[in-house]
Amino acid sequence: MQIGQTRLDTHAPSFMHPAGGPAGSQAALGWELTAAAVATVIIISVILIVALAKRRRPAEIDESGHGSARWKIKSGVNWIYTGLAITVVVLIVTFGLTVASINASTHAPNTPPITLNITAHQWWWEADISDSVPSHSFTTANEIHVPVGVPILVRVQSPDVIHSFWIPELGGKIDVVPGQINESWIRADRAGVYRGQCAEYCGLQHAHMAFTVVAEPPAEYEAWAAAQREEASTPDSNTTAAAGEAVFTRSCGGCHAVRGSGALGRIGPDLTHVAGRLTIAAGLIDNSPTALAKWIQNPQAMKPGVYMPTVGLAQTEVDEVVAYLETLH
Amino acid sequence: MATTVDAPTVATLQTSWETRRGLRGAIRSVDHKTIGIRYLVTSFVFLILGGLEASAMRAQLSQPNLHLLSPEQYNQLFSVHGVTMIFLYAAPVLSGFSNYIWPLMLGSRDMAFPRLNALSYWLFLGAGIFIYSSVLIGQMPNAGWFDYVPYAERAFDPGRNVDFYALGLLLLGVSTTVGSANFIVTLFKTRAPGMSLNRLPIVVWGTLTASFANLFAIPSLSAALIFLYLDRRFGTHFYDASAGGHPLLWQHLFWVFGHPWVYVIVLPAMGIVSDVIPTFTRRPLVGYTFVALATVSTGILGFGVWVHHMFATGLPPLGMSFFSGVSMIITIPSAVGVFAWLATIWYGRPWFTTSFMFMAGFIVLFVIGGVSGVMTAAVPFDLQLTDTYFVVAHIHYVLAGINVFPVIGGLYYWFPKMTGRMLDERLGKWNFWVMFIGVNVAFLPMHLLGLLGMPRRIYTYDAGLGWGTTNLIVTIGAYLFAVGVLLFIINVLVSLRRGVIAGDNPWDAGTLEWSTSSPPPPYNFATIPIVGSRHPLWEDRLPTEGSGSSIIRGGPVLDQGRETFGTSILDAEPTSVMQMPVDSSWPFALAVALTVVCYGLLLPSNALAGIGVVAAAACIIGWLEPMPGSIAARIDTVFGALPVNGQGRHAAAWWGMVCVIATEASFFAYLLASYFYLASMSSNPWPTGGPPALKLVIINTAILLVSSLVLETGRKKGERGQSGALRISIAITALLGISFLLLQALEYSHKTFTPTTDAYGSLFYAITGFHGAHVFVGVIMLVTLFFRGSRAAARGSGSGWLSVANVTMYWHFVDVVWLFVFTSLYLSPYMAR
Repeated sequence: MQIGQTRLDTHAPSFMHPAGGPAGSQAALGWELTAAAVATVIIISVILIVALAKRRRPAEIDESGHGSARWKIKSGVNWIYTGLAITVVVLIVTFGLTVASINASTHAPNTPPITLNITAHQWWWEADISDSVPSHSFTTANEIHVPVGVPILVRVQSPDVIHSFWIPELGGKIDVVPGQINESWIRADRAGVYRGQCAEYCGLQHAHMAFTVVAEPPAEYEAWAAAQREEASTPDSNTTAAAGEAVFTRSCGGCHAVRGSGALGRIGPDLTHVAGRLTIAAGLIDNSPTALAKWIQNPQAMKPGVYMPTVGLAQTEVDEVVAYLETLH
Repeated sequence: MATTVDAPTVATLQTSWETRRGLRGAIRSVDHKTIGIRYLVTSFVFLILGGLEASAMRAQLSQPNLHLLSPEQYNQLFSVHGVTMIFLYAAPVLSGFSNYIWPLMLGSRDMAFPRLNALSYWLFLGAGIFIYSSVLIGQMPNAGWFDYVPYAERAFDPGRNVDFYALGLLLLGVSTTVGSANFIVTLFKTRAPGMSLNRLPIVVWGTLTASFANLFAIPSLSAALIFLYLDRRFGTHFYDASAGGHPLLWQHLFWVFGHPWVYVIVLPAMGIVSDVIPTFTRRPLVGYTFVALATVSTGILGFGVWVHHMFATGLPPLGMSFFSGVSMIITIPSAVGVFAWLATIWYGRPWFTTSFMFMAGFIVLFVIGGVSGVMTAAVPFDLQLTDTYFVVAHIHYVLAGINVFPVIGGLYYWFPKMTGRMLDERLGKWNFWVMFIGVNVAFLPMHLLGLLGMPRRIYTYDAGLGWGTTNLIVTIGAYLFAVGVLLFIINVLVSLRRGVIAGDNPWDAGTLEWSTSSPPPPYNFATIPIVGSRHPLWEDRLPTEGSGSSIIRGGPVLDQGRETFGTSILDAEPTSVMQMPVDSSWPFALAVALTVVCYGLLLPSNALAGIGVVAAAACIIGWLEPMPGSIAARIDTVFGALPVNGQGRHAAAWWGMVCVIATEASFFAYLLASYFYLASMSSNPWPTGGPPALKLVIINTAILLVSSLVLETGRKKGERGQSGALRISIAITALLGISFLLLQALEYSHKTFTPTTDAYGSLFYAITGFHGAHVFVGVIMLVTLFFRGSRAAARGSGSGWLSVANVTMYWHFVDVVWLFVFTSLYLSPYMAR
């Protein structure tokens, strides 16, 4: 499989076709502005073409001047008055529409019951979901599910450089600035898979810092969330997966956490339920055993500059680790 | 060319003004025409380099998942492409035009400060070479042209890449500041008699506005770059959120500079359009006054819109509404331009030259770039648009459309004046159509890519995202555009040898530069023109322009060495005869020395930097050596006996000092604004260690205030002839300055924190340190004045008195700055409690 070929990405994440939340009012404003902009360009171009091409009478020269031939000059300044009047009206309307939708675009209409705490890292997303019920909070990475029709408060922070959190079809960008926590919100009104991506240049792999939002009916969401809160189950002893767990804890557990196992690292993404995710490596590639094996063997080849080192596992160890990861649903 | 000046006089002028041949002459030349052409050629070299970088990137993006470039290569390319096009092409190319045509349009023999003009060019070249020398070690700037921290900090970007960026742009900032001061003073002081403000060509208004914007905007970038360099080299904490700094400080400082800069690189270009369209429609511009005022107001409003680059950074909605509103209001002056151009064409009689076609094509590109700008000003939609290819499309319509098109059209227009030969019109038409189609095929689809959700600055993208085909079209368009630029360059190279001989005025244009020969002689005009209308060469055909009131030939000659008129600001009435400097190698040497300083700071090598500083100081001393030449106090002209160079606000040097102070004052304003910004944003206790102790500082404040009084009293006494009192007051002032510095050092020794303790410490030492450095420079100026200037003044030398006036003004400025520093750093912590 080629890098970057993911089955999710079957459509462009266009914010002009929003799926809800602030993206809705933003797109409405966007279509109005686009229409006005296109109309302006067409009208001015037509005026210009007519001005260039229109037939002119032979040189209009005023012979009555001071003996020499003088050009007849029309002032034309009425064009400026008229043009300004039209411009001002268009701008006032535009500004009115803008101000009217600023609030809807930055603040959720009602208090969101779910908070998505994002910590943006070079080059992946840590997602801590906190629910009104404290025990319902959990940590995952690069992919979350959300219930359809429910607003989600997004709080973002960064321990390294500036990133920008952006799910085009669900809402505009909010920059992730070290030293402050910014807030925004999203809401999916249609079930579906929505791709987000870091939108502020953040270094070598800015291009491969994607985030997936799976919107599903509330019941399915609750099931997913409940499963996420569970710790990982320990594989049966003497299986390949059990061997994989040992290798994983020893070689990968310094950076990655699998809750319920000995792997406690917080440097890289939490992998407690990695098998349930659609992609790996922050949206780089579809999640499959083959892809996982390739990724573990040589992450630098697939995502040059990524902070995940090449651990140097033997082929059998890689297979064991993959077998283990495949159990982490 | 018919001339009313006899051959011996022409020979005298030629001897006075011409530059000697050979390398030595080339290095020493201060001729604005030579410098202008150097600017144009150099910036075109950078345009080509930037174009090659773009070509590589477009190849990489032409299909999904390509690996022609590594991520690091791509990141360096997009960063250096932006730096090149924005800093090394777009602004310098316009400086080239203005350098070349200003004195010719204004009817003067050179810029106000010809040597500063040379310095400005050499520094630009030095900065360009400095930035590009990064390619030799494979560490070109890689944090974007916007260079956001903390990514640009050493922790995340440890190579030299960002150091090349920071130091190179600081050096370029000096160049631009010097050049801007020169344009402003040139406009104020050296116009032909009668070239009143309401007769200036619009391009002059454009460059004037841009120059003012530079004086006030560049210090913001300089402050940001100095902070960045200090953070990277010495571990200060200006941008470090964990130690009381803040990354958004960089963004505010950068965009306070960055948005006015957008107008710096378009307003002169729009001025070119406003001046060329009338020639090819055979009528004056519609609404001259409106367009001139629109130009100036755009420049002013440009300072109030920087936050629209930061809508997604988490600002309060009220603030965003305000900046959104201002960003839309700035459309109004742009609309004035559009309707003025349309009406001029509508009521004119178009002559479809290549130059005119570029201007007409520009109007469409201008409108596209304008409406997309309004779309990004609408906050909610901008939260979607920002950092997507929509913005890439927008900035390229602005830069390629509003800068490159007028520039190339302007070169078709003025090339005959510069070289004496016409560019080929047939090739020119091809040139236009290829570029016009290319620019739209390349950049129109980019809007769509943005709307489809493609972010900027990604080195590749997935196939499934549906961006592939559009990207391929963009790449084809970009290559087409490149072919168009290539056609232009071919046309230039061919026409230089084989172009049709142009004659003085091939376009039958109305402005002053077309009255002299093509190319113009070193002295520009054998007789200084006396201007009576906006179109001196059209006076016999325009009904409204009082007939024949300009005197193109037969005016005053001024042939006692390099001379031109100094004139009053509003009406351009002659107030003095300015004696212009002869050629000099000091500007070149100084530029080399300053570039060496930058390399010293880059390596870092304190020895190399020290050598550069000493060499630079030596150059400045050599430069300021009084010039030989006439010391007559007054020269008889047709306007009566006029003083040489003038005094006070009649003197160019006085205005030069005003410009220096304006830009320096804004530098301190940005430092203090940074202080208050971090004070409000910091998570640390502020100030560190509680409010600062006041005893020493109050003494120091008193010392500075007294010193200003002493110096002012001395200057007044000196003017009344008591030169002894003047010299004593200078000596006392210098001693007071030295005691201020000693007490400052004492205060530092009492402090419990250092510049690397936290952001407060960084700012405290930066602000007081920069002020101290200004006091130090002031003391050196006073000492020099004591030994050189005040003696000359006592002998009645005009330049001696000018230096007394200028040093006094500078000293007062340093003292006033201290009052602000004192209030902000020392008193405000007590008020805030």
